[in-house]
Amino acid sequence: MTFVLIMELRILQPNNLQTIKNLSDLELIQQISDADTIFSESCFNEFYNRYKNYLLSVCRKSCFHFDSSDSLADDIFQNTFLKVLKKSSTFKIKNPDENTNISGKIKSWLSIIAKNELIDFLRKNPDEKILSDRSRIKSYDLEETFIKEDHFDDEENIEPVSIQKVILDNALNTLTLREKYVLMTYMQFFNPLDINRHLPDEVLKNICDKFNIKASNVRQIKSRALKKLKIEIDKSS
Amino acid sequence: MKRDIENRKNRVIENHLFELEIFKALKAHGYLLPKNTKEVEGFEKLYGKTKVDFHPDTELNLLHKKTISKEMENIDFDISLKIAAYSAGDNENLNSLDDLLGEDTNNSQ
Repeated sequence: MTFVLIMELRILQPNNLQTIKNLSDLELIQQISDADTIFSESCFNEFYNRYKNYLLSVCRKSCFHFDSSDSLADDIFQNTFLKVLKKSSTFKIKNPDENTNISGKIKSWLSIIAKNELIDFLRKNPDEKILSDRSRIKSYDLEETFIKEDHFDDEENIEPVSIQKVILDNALNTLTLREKYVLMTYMQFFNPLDINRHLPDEVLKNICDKFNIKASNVRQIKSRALKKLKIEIDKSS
Repeated sequence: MKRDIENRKNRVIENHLFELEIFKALKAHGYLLPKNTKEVEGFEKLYGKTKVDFHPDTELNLLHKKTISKEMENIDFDISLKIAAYSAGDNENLNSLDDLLGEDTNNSQ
């Protein structure tokens, strides 16, 4: 008996590849779907290639002051794109024909997803050794947090910043790893309209587990970090 | 006594203002993730649009859906991300949650 192995070759034709390259960013997102088609996968790959540099840059910068920052940034980067792959259909823009800065809006969207991933990490992982655990990807309900934050996120009200980057960097370098971690964690949840806001319980617990300290110490560490920054910044100014 | 309370109050306000300055500085210098198009522009002005070096482990291998593990099938894209989709860089047009859900349902055909 002769067995014939039939292989289905799924090859994207060159003219389809060109079509994908010509799609706008919005069209690409619309084509990425859960459907198991080589076209939708190719659209995702194109979208990924267009936005990977931006997303990895913001992930690396925002994770810079956490320990294991590169691994953390990589994890958040990957999780963000995996979320896009799974649920791109939820991205919508009002009046897309009138909207001139679609790319900027997509980058904002990606950044918000990345921020949610970072906060998810801070809630769940006291030990960065368990980075790259794919089962960690489940989203959690940030609805209440996000709606509250939205009130102060006013594009028109960007005030000038009084602390130069080099001065800020030098000041941050005087902090211990623990002080930096605690301060940056607080900053992820910072709300100018609710300045006494406490960290979520899970986040606080994770910090306590990570550094083997009590909850009451965490606020003290943050205060100490801010005092150190103030001294350094005043010195430099 | 009254002066002590006043001094303490002023110190608290001063500390809060300084914390706000640090927050704004971290945001302006790219250490906090951008949340709208203005912040995205600010970030790109600071750090440019140059190519980033990718470690091979960082790059996603997404040529085939099979590389995605079974756990990811259960990712729940919650309402906060739908809101983010509408409001990305355009917060003044953010409708109420009801409008958002209603429109989302109508468009999901």
